[in-house]
Amino acid sequence: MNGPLSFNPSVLSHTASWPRWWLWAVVGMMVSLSWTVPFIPWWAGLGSGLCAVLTLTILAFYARRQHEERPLEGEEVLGGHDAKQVLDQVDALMSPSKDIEQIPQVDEVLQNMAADNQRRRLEDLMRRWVDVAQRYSEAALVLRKDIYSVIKQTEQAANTIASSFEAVINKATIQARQAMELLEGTQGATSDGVPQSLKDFIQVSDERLNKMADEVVRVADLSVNMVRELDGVQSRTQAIDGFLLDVEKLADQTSLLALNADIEAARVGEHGRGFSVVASEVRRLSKRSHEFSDRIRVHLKEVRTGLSKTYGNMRMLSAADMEHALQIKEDVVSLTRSLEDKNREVAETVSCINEISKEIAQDVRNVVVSLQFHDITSQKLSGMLEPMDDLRRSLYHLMQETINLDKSLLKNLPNNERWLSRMRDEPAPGSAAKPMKNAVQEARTIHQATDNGPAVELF
Amino acid sequence: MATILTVDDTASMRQMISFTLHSVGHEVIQASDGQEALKVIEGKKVDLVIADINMPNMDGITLLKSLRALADYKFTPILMLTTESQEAKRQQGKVAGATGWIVKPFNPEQLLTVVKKVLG
Amino acid sequence: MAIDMRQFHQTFFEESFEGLTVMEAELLRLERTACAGGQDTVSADPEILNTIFRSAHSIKGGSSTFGFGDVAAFAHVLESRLDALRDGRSLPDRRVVGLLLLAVDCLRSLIIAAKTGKDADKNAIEAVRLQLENLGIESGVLPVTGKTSTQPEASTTTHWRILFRPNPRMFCTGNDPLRILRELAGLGKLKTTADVSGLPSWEQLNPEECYLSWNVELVGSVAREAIADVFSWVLDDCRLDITSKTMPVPTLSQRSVAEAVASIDAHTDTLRVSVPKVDALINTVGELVITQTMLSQLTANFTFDNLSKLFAGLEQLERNTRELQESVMRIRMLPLSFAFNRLPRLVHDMSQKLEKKVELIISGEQTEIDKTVIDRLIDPLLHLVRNSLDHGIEPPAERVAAGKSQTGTIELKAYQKSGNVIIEIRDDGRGLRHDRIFAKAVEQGLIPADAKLSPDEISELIFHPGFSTAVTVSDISGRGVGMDVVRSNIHSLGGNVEIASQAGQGACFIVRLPLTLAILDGLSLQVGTHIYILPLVSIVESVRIVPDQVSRPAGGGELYGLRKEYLPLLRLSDLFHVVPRSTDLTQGLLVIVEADGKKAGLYVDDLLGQQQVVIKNLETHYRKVDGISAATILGDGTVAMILDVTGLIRMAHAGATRPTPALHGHIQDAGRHTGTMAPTIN
Repeated sequence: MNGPLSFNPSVLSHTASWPRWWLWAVVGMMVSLSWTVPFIPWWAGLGSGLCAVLTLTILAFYARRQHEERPLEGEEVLGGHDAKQVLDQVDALMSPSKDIEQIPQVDEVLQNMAADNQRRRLEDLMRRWVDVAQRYSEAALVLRKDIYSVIKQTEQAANTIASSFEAVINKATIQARQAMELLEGTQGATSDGVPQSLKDFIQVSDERLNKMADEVVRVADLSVNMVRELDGVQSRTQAIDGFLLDVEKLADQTSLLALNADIEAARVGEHGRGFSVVASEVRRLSKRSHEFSDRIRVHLKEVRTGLSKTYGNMRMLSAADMEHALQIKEDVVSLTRSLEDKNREVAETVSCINEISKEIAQDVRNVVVSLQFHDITSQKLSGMLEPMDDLRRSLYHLMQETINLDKSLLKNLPNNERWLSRMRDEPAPGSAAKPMKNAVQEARTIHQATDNGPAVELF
Repeated sequence: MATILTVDDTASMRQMISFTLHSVGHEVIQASDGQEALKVIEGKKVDLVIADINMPNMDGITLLKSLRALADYKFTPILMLTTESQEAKRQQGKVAGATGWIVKPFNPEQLLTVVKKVLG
Repeated sequence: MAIDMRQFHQTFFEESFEGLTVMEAELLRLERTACAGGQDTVSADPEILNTIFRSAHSIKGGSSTFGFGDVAAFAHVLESRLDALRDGRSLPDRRVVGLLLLAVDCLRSLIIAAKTGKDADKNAIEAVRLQLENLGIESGVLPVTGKTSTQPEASTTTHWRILFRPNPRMFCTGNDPLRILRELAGLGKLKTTADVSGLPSWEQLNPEECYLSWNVELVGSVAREAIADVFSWVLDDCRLDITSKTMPVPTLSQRSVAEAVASIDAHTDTLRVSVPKVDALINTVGELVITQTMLSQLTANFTFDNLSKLFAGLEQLERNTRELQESVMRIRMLPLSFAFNRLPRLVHDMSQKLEKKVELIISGEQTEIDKTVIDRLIDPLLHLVRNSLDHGIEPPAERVAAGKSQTGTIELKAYQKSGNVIIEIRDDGRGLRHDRIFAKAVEQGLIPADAKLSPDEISELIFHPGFSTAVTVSDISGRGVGMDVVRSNIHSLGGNVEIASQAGQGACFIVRLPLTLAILDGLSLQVGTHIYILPLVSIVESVRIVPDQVSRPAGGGELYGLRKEYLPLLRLSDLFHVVPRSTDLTQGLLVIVEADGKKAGLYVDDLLGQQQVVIKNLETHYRKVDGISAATILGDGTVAMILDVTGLIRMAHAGATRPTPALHGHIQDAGRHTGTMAPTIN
């Protein structure tokens, strides 16, 4: 161990780390400083000397540090291995018992050690790569599932919204139309002239009521006329009464005359007999005319009573009629007015409805624009899938090639078959661009992708 | 009034287009991809085609080319539905003979204006 | 209506022309306030707009009443635009003001057409009317924020020319040019011409290809983007050229405007008379009647004793007749503003046309002068101002380079002096270019090349017939029929024109017109028993003399210290050899007068009052007298001398307080002459 050619590697490393230039610099500085000693106070020289030494030391320290960071060849070779083993090996090689020819084996050993180390590092890197790929692959699959499900969900939601929206719009339209119909009625009257729309109704009612009122007024008018007629009749009966009196007077006078004639006849005697007959006939006639006039009078009286009764009734009736008619007319007018008000309200409501319909139209437009969200989002999401899959596939190929290079690399890796096969899995062709319409197909696809892995839940 | 064919694999999209066009009285035929579209127009006369670009089975550009190859649809206006990011596709469409394009999402008023513009 | 409206037409025309003048003046004022503000948009003074609106409104009303349909229609459009402006619904910017000025021109020419029966330039007027109407459309669009928005091409009525040549394969994309054209028609007024030159022969014709191309003209408020939009789908499938031609507004050429101007102003055969003048006339007539009655009375019972009375009466009659004549003549006097009123517009239009900035300053326009003189003065004045604008004032850049302000000034000054009316046209431009004048004169053979001429003589050269140094002949000037005609015109009026010029500083044209008959606003003052008239314009103030302010310097004469300055004190009594009422300075008044920047104090006995007097030229009746510019006859027949303030001041400053004794005698002679001679009326 402590042969003539033995060396302490630590010493090597020790001295090697102190740069030689440092030594020379210190010496040189001392020499130059010594020249100044006579000219400056001793403590100044000492002080500057110390400072210089310090500076140089620090510089050297840093330089050494730098040097240390770069792994020296020696360390490389030796790192990771048991130093003792190596030393033993080297010593074994370097022992004087061995042949000179075997010295080159030192290189070989060193080289082997280097290769071994390299190999170990490669393996390490490989492991890390694999780890990453594995994790990415898993994540990718999950992401893909998620995207699919998002697309599916939004599609369902969009479809539902769209159908519901369309239904709502239709119903709203129907409602509006019904309301309008209710308020305005359908256009035109039916064949039997019965008005259908409220407006028509109002119009016709108004007409009819007016007509009725007019009729009533006319009737009232007629009765007034009749009253006038009756008045005329009444006065005529009175006239007749007057005549009757005259007639009676006449009859009386005739009777008196007849009596006188009788008397004269009696005076005359025989010759006056024909005359007295005539006179008594005349007397009888006048009596009869009296009777007639009495009878006429009685009739007249009846007529008069009847007439006055009728007159009274008529009067009452006509007054009542007129009043009634005017009342009716007023009622009709107010009814018409309230009907018109109603109509106006209806018109306002109609225009309200129209306004709302217009607003609805605007809202509809907004909704139509917004409902296209599903299409856009699904496109964009699908757009993401392609690069993801590309990446996965590239990784897979890369891994495959790497493995092919050196199968032995894998022997230390955990779960190598699983992750490899998992990486190999590709989603079903064609669905990379867009999700399938058919839900079943879709489920199958997703299932395919996770064949070898844990089951994925679809909701 | 006119018969319009709308082709899009998104149901909601087709729904919105039909709804808008119906409101002015057009008749709308729907198809969910290019192949179905070609099948569905057999025996009918279509005045205008509105087609999406990205569809399974047969995409919009291919449908466009197939339609243009038919004698009946050589001069029929065909409008492509596209998102802004697909400038390249738009160029492709133009080369293939598209009449024009509508950008998604579309405003129903705009759609109606364009349809009127194209149907005369 | 049975009433013949024609008798009222004349009134309508005059009123309308006046209204147009007012509108023009106000529009120019509107623009000036904008210039002062330094912005393009004008913060409109509502009163200005109201005035303009009212004028337009009355013209419209009048013209429709009298059945001048064209005028009424145009005035209606103008009125509605003005209404929008004054309501603040739109902003008047410079462009709008320019358009309105143009509209005023159109209206004027329409009215002239209605008056003379000749036709106006219908196309130009139609164009302006269209622009006015479009003004209404777009003005409603402009936001009233007061900011000048960068006007995109869109908001004006533009005239687009579109060349549309579709590729043969256009149909294959399902596009139809017909639909595209129909869409264009929805944007504005469309005029298409199809170009069928691409059509091949029948056998070669493929019905599935497009061989036609179209030239489309689209007029309307359309933006280029809107047009490009229509073609957006087919941009790659066709050749498309969109060019804009803003509709050229056919400006009624300056010439026609000037003609219009000339035709009105020269031929109004009516007169505006101020009421006091008519009153004076009536008074005079009254006096005449009195005199005539007296005379007839005298002659009725004539005896030779009454001969002297007869003579006196006849003298009186003569005086009255003279006065009557003068009153009538006075009626014919008009202020010079009538001659000047076209100038602001001219300067405005021309300065815009020539792209120079010019400001016109007018002073003394209330100086009165006979109507015929004014009528014949307008053209020469116009020409002189035009010359200033064209040759004198430099473009703004040149002015700045020469160290002057960007805006050039043309000053028009009118005043009376020593029996003349002087009109000065002064500009601060580059002055007369003597070298060019010389060269041109040599070129035209007016002078030999080696002639040695003084600057004044060179200036005189421009008055030669046919002379012009303008390089290009424009319809503004340069035809060489200018200056000599000006001179002869002025000569025919009895005046003359002179030039004073300084190279680089400016030129000044001085037109002198004799006072054949002119009126002066004067202050009558009394010295002793004589009455003198002092022109009001020269009077600064009158003060009571404070004796300790009077100082007598060694050289003679008197000085009066008024506030900070010392003025020579001139005793008119000494000057004119008149016995004053009192030599005590405190008894009278000191009238401070000013002329040519110098002041003096005139000591007088009394100030009688202000009156207008008719100036009678001394020179024609007698001869020139220092210190007196003219004479006048007062209402009561006495002669009063009108003082020549410039002359007096000169005398005062020269220290000559003791004029030659002969002066007084002259004056008395003059008075006698003027009093007895019949006035010659030119």
